[in-house]
Amino acid sequence: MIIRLLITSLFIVAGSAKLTAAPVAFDFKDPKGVNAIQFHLDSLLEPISGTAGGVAGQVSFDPKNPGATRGSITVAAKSLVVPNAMMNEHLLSTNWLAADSNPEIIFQLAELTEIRTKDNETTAQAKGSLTLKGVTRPISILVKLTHLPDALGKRMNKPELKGDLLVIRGEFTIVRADYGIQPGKNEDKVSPEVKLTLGIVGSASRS
Amino acid sequence: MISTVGYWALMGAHQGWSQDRIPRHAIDEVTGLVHVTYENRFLPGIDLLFGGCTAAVIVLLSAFFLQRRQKYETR
Repeated sequence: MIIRLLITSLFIVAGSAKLTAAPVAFDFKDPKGVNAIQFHLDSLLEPISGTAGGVAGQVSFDPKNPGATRGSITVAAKSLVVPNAMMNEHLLSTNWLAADSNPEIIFQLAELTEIRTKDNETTAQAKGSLTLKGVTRPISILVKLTHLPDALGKRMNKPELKGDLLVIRGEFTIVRADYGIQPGKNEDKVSPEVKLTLGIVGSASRS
Repeated sequence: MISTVGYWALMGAHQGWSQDRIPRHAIDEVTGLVHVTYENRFLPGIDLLFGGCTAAVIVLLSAFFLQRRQKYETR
């Protein structure tokens, strides 16, 4: 009787621990400067490829409960870089991204759906909204989240640093006209669709 | 024109737009993320080739017509 009671109590405690496990906040401002979103679009002469390195934001993630993931990622519009300087100037200008008046590109995560977790990897549909050039539209992105416990110190070459990493990968396409970027114009010279590749890492220090 | 074509060919005969910075890819060891950095270096492209050749043709034609005009004036 006592043993049964003890076992039942242990199960209750274990269950409570799972329910009260809190999501951890991962900071995506990368001190190593690796975080970037790559963009790619076809154009007349050759494809235009570039990166946006000014990534920041916070995502709360609980490996035991990925469905509770929430957060937002911001990208500084002026951090978009293409190899040609004149093209870069046009890209940030009023006719295209208007980076001066719309300094941030924001992805706000509302929820993760279709979650599948295997070991430390979770794939899901990240549903939320994307704000680009002042226009906010709903968006759904297939993402892969990789939780790397105790990897922060190794990545920063500082073994004394304790903490976890969360790597988010994804690929999605947007139509530039949807965000008021030269809608219906120059589509024969610059593709109306832009492919974006996300590869970012957030850190959660345990000091 | 020869200089323009020669310079463009010598620098790699890049068939796209000229580049002011060259992307370089590296892999972040711990996360496996591909990381792009840019090397500040000029790579001439088709636009420079076209511009240089056009300028050469303009100079050539100008020289030709000036020469003809001078010949006409000296008669």
